[in-house]
Amino acid sequence: MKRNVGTLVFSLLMILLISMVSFAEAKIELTVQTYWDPAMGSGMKLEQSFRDFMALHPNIEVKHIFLPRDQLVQRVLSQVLTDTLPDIVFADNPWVRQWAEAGVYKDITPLIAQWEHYEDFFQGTRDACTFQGRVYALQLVTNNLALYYNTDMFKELGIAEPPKTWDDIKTISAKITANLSGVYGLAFSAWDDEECTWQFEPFLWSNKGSLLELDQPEAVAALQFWTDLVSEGYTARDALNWRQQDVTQQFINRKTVMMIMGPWEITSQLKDVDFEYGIVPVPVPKAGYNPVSPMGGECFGMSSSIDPSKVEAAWQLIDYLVSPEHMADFTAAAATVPTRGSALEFVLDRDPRLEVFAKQAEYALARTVVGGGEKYPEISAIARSAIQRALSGMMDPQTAFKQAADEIKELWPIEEYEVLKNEVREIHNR
Amino acid sequence: MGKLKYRLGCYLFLLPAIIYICLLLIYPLIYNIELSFRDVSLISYMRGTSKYLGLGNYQKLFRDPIFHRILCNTAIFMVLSIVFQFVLGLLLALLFNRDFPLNNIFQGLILLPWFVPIMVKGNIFRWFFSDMGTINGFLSSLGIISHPIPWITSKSLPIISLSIANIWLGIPFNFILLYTGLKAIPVELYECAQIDGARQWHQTIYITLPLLKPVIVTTLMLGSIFTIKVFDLVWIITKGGPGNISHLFSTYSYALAMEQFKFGMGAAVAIVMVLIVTAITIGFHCIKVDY
Amino acid sequence: MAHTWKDWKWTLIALIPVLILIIPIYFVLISGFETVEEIYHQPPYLIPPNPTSQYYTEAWTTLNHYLMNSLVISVGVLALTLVVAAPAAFALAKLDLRGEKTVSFLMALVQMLPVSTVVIPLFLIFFRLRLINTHLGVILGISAFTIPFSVILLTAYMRSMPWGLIQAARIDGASLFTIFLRVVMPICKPAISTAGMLAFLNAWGDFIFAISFLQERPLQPMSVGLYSFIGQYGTKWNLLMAGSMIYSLPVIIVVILAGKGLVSGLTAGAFKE
Repeated sequence: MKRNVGTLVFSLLMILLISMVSFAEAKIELTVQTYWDPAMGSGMKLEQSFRDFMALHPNIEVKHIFLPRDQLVQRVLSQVLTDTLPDIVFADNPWVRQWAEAGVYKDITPLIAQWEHYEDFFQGTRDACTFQGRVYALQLVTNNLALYYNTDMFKELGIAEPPKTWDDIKTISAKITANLSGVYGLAFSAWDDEECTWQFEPFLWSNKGSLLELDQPEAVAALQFWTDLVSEGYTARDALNWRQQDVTQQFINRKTVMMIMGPWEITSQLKDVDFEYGIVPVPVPKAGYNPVSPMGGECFGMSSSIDPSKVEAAWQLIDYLVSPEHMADFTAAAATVPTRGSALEFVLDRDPRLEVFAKQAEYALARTVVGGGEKYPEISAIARSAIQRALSGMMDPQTAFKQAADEIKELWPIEEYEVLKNEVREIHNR
Repeated sequence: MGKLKYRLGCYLFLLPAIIYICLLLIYPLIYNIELSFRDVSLISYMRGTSKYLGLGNYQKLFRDPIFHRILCNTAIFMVLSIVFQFVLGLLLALLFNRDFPLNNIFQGLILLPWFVPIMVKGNIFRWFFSDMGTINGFLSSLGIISHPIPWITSKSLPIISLSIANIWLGIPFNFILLYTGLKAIPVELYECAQIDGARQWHQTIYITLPLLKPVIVTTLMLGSIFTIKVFDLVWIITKGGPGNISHLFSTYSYALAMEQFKFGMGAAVAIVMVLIVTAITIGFHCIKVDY
Repeated sequence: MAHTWKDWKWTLIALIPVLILIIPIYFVLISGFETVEEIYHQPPYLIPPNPTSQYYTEAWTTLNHYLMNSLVISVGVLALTLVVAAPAAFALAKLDLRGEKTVSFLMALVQMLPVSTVVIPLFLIFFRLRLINTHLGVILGISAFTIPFSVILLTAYMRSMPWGLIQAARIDGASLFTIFLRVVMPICKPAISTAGMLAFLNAWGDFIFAISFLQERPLQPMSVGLYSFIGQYGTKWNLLMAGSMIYSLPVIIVVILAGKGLVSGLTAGAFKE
């Protein structure tokens, strides 16, 4: 009896306390964790957007937590194990399906169902954020790869046209290396990281090669092309240790005349360059082939453990972020491409340099869709290891990719592999 | 009774360290052993649904060509690093044991690289070793080479280049330990030897080195510990590449776990490394007993 | 002691290895004053042709916020390591305990685990202890590796220490604690300063524990700052090198301040009986 009275008094006190606290702290706090550095580009713009959002919604407080990109997976893993995920979970698009399967994300399909804008998003971005028919996140920005070239140097050397095919790259590079000592033709990133696979994919896919069949002639030819560039001195061997940022530095310092790069550098490292540059799609194997780029870009969803009282505010924030006006604003400032058609028009008005990327965005391939789903990180690791072996001269492209293909095949039971392989083949032949 | 109290007192000195280590290191060790027996992907890790595999990860590992490479790399890296660090450190210590002008200032300068954080040192070498980097720049401007040497982009050089970086890193530490040891040798011994007319290098071999033995053993042991634990240096300079050619245990374990999300395999690599170190340490103890 | 010209010969000989050892650091120092083109110049410049302090200033504005956190963590690790390791080393070296071998072996063994494999299990423990997002958590984590190492280092040193003084003190009726504090510690000053220095360096250089346990930016140390700095500027080597120098400088200053330089501390001549 006595204990019951105690419990009663205690719970009354608690209720009082909680209501007082909630009265005083009526603000709903949302935490967002990203790898966008607040000191530059996307991160700076994102924090600005949060301030704008808070001005519109005085009852919501948005807090941004930044961490370096290569630390995000480990951080999220430890947060899942201790049930301390941030309210808004941010991820690079190839991770979303895997994280959804792992229970990191809240299923937002019901919210999407009552929302009329979903169809406006590009197919690739919808695919990347959907797992087993349920939607888990929305992609804010997308990007892809193109070829940048230094227009001034092209003029100096009397090169009239930017390259369209692989042969063009070789011809132009030959001209450059013959005339300028210490300057290379094309730079790309081939260090032991996802960046290597990602930069190789436009070459692989535009030749109709598949990550699941690296031993096929289409894939080997793409690798042979990269290897030729290095062995003929058109691309520096250092590419094996270049991060993407290093590639841009080579371009800025005129150590290379062309580079494979995404749009984001336009407003960050390339912001103040003192020469003219042009952007064209990544050259294709032969005239008549279509350029295909992998789809980059980051997604926002809600944590599966989000407090139910915060869901509405979180949805308001996501809805605000992906609204066409904000998306156009954001992508123009951060030099990326919108993920929905209605935002696309705005953005080209603001920065015409994004045109190539914007055009490619609609057809860019989600890496998980053609790269083995949740096994993509492993496949990417196997593929880039083989690419590095070929570029460094350890193995010829044929042997390197044969080995890689065998390793990749073993990731699934044989029947499952066959089905998957054929699905992917169909996509590439489309 | 006094004796018992004394004994207890003795253990009290040791207790904090033991508690600390049990709490903070034994648990992670057990945790990793457990992981290494399971098939842990990111998904099953997060959901807590990983399957028990027994020795499956280890079997897979022993068949993995990269793992064989790592055994070779580790052997090359350890032997080169430890031998050169030690020999160069010892020569420097003997040199500085003489009295000459500017001795003190030079000693300070030698220690300087030691105080520079590893993240910085790693980046220095990434820059130095690149094809267009400082080393190739010097060599080609001196006319020694016509093509840049692929220090960290070829088949066989990367592990050697990494060893060079690590030797450079370890010299100050070896130097300072050995130098301290040398200074501790009583001067009278040398004076006696001089009276007996012993030559200088005789002195070094018959007096200095034997007296230095405990210090030498410690230096080699600490040097080995440092070297086998190297992670950041390799991760920053080559990240184990190109084509997984320059991995060590630590970097491969990390790459498997945090890049390919094969956490069980990553843990297995770490455990194998601990086992190998255990075997070597036991070997070390046996040798010490022999003396 | 007056030096003859013959002594200078040794100075010249010593100059060569000293130069080889410090040249990389020298290049870091000067490239912070150069433009990127100047850094890539072949052959490399030995003296910056048009020195500018712009990059140092820029790097400093980004990194100075992290300085205090780095100091707190590093000093914390230094203190904790010595307080735990020194008595343990004393016990192992001089007190003739049973199971001493096993303990030393354990010390050598556990610290072999790659740091990266320890982070997640430690995160789970520290989360329960509410140590995530505190400096104490990071200090405890780093010390898990510096303590065993220091124990090994100090034990080796103390073993070679003469027994006589301790015996004498025991006969005088001093307690073990007094002996440890009054007799052992002063004699071991050189080794203690080495161990402390190593712990400090380790803590200053740590990145993994800091990034894993400190999620709030105002708590993070300089290593994390420099890491995102690298992420931002890639191979803008001048900024990166200026940042690196700023990151290294406090350690060098601490070492110099730590009592007439480490060398004189190490060479205090404890053994010259």
